[in-house]
Amino acid sequence: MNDFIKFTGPADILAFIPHTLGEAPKESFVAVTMQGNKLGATLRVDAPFGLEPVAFAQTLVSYLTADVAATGTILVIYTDENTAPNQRPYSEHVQALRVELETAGMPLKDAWLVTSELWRNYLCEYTSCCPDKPLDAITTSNGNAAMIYRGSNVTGFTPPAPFTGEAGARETIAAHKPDGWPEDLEASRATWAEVLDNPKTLTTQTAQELAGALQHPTIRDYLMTDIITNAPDQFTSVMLGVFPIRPDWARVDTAQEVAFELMKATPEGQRAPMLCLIGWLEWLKGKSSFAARYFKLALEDVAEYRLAELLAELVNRGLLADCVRDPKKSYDRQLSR
Amino acid sequence: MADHFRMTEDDTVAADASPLEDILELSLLTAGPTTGPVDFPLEDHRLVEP
Repeated sequence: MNDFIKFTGPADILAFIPHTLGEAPKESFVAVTMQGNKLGATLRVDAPFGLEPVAFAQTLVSYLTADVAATGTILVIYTDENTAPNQRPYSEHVQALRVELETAGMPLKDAWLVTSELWRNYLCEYTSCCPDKPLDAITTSNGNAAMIYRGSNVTGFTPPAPFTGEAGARETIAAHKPDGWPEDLEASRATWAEVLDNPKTLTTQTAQELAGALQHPTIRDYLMTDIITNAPDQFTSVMLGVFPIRPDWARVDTAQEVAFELMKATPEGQRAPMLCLIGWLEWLKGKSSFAARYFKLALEDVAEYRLAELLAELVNRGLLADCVRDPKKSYDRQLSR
Repeated sequence: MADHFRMTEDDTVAADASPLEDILELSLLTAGPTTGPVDFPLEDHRLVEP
């Protein structure tokens, strides 16, 4: 478990990126910081189509400075953007990034371009020394094999399971929606706490009770923030990701699994709260792309669902939770080796 | 003398209001420009490049 994986070439690093992001990026800029000869943080942002180069570069570097040990940066551009012959896509943005990274003390060490058909070095224009390479070279790399051996899988986005509950579930869940009295809140929080402590206690009845409780906005807010048990009491701070502690990530994983289970018992039109909960936890883990997709599903389930609209906006503004920026507090997948 | 102020239906609190949503909305007023989602998973994979 304690051995380092040794990467010997760019294909290894290109293989590592989907493992850490959870999926292969598309139309994206990915920056990986270097800490000496070790890889540090991985950052993915949307490709800056139409964005002003310097402002884009400054924004990207402002995220990377969270890695205070960074001594350099590797850049990978995923795009099928067509450019003129002998011209690289987003060349002005890369030049601006080169300047900003140098200023930040984490200079650009190398850069690669990945399209849907091939990959190649971005900085070297000579195909004699840096030829186009097939994508297979990434998937068959030693780096990819080492990640898989450690138990990492590129699982991609996990869509929620369809409703498989009993007929009449919609009415039952609606009947379980509390009126919002304090005793309703405490009862819902107690049930939620019990299920998070021991997910095996989740039955069809408790699933419908919790699904009903989540239909009430204020109770939903409390149940969501109750996942982060060791945070301060101000639940608005917790929802905004502004808290000084390391979340209990095992509890976070459990909460996501329970929410997925609740969705099996919850028909369309009542699933938006669970989708918001799952997306919010993805955001806390630093996976905003997945979070955005859950919020989109929530809005498809219930049009104009306000929490989904607001959280989607939060994610689209590039906001990150405090714990995402701190390696000691950020989410760490449990690999088997 | 102050103008008379009359509450209308627009000033009532919705039955399903969430204070948290209100604060989220206020926070977004001072958030930066739209950039799209930012993924920043910090994981220690113990990776080295020779």
